[in-house]
Amino acid sequence: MELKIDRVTKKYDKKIACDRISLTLEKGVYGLLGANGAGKTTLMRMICGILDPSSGSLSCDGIDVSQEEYRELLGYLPQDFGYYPEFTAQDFMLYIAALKGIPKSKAKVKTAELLEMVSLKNEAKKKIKTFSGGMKQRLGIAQALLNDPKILVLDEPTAGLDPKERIKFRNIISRMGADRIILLSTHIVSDIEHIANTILIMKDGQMIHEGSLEDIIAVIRDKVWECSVSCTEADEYGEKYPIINTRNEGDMVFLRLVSDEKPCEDANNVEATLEDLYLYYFSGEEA
Amino acid sequence: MRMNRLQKGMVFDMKLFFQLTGFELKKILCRKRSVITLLVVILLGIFSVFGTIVGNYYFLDENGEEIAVSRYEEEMIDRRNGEALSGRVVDADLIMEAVDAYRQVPLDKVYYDITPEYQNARKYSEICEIVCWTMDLSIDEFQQLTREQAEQFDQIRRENKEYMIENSDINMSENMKEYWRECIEKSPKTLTYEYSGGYYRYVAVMYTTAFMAAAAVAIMISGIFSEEYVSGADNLILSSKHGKGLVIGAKLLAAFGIAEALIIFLIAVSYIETMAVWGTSGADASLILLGNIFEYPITIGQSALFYSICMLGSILLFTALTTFFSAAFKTPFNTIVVMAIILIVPMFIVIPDSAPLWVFQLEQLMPTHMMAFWDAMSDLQYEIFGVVIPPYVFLPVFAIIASCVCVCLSYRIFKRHQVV
Repeated sequence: MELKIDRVTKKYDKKIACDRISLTLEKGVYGLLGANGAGKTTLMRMICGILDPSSGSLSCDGIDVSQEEYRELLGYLPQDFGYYPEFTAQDFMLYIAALKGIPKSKAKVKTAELLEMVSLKNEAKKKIKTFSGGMKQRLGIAQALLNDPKILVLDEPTAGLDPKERIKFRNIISRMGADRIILLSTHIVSDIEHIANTILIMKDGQMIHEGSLEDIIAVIRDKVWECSVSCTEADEYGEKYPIINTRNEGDMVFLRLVSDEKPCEDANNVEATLEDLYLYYFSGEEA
Repeated sequence: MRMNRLQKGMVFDMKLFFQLTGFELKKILCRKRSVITLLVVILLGIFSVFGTIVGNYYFLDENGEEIAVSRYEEEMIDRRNGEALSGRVVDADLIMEAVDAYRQVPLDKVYYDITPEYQNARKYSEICEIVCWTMDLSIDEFQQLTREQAEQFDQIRRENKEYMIENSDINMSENMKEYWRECIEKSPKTLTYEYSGGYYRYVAVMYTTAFMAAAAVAIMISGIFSEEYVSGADNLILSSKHGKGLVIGAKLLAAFGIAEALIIFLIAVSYIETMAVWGTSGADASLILLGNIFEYPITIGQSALFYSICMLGSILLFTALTTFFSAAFKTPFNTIVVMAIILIVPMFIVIPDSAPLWVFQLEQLMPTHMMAFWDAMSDLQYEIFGVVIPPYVFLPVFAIIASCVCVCLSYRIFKRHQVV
């Protein structure tokens, strides 16, 4: 199975949300990183066939994303998904199952199974309007998995989940990635770091990096430093280098920063992480 | 084998379609605003028929004593009087009987309608009304009517019709005029009176009821598509297998189903109630007895049936327009505002007599006019390829065609909706 994104561009009046993006996704988990407005959601919507590209094409094994046949393969969790407050969790799942063309008897079994998986079994008969943000998010995850999708697109799936649920969900995704295409977008860098086989980084509508964690981090390898400096120096460094982390330590300030050269005598070169890379690229932008 | 598989697939899809329709109905009926609107309209629909029989009516007896009867009793007296006259030809004898009774009424008194003389004459009130209206008389002139004049009633009636054809406010085509002449030829030369209080009340009450039903439709159906845009559920629907096909059909079926079920219920309730109180007599009588200017070759009963079909058509068109605007606009509120304008504004538009025929016809095609008895039975006809079609036939046919267009547009708009 191969999801092919070929020179896809999405233009709004004066803004280019996605600029000539070309990708080929095969089985595995893909983590999509980027600041707000980078074009992640736009790209995901185009992959889900709910937003037409201005140019370029998207298809899976030759099936265009606008086809019903393609949508049959798809599971999608949008960033802000709409629900029906008066529906119970079970009603909502059965409705989505009907939308996906799953027969009622099978839908009931699958619904029970998935609600249990996202720890909502006891809340199946409760109205969604009584749910907390995290519960709604878990319900969203469950609905995306109803049709056992071959292509799973998850936009900010772990937003609102507590750490325990997040890790549980992360593991589920990781397991599922073995035999399907999973595209995952999140601001929680550690989620991607743990489960994504391939990391995609978007900035200003363009795909600036694509590769494994090691490949991606290579950009800032040997460029991440930690040092303790005075408050005055900390201010100066803040203007000169992308600061990844800062912490007060008595009279001194601890800094973790990215620099091509050693910023000061006492600075120690440390191992780069994905979060360093993310902050390196997006520290000047809205989180 | 292949056929069996195909049949199985079709059965499955139909099942799924009705399952989706059930969910769409649930979505509509789960909304608080829908429940409240539905309850209000149903209650008003049930009780509006009884509006005219609530309260009391006062008049004076022979001794000048005040007598109070309930409005219901008053209506029943009129019904008995009307039924007593039913079957009689409106000829010089009947007219003069009415004139003699009305001559006793002291019209110089301010409240002459509570005098015992008027109470005696009121059994002829409908005859008086028909004669005054046909011969263009005031009630004073009616009192002075002579037998010679009364004998000219049928001739004047015919002359009036011919005059109306030649001097109509609207610019009738030659084919339309010919159609009317044929109608006149076909109509009976004499007018037979039949009490038709039930049908009179039915057509009178249904305009308000249909208007309320239309308002309810706008409120309930306005969110059928746009609510999905507002809530963000469009993401999930449009990315699902049936999100760009079956579910749109299910939404439309749910919208039309609920709207038509509501109007059918209101029509049935109003019909049963009016017939229960005022009786079913008059179904075979001439349409003229309902105060209609033009005499179509149909009876009162048939006209009530055609009118009910026009109301169904009107609500069908109104629902179709609501679904269209719901798909086109981003919020249900915008849809409600536009539908309120479509419903209310046509009632206040006055078209000058000099306007071309098509302007009047266009106005009549608005759902608000389509649901009015006087529009459904008006002299404004439609001519297609030389064939003249009366409004009570054309309006529902137009409603069906226009609704199909709206449905196709709604379908297309939602299917192509871009989640931005």
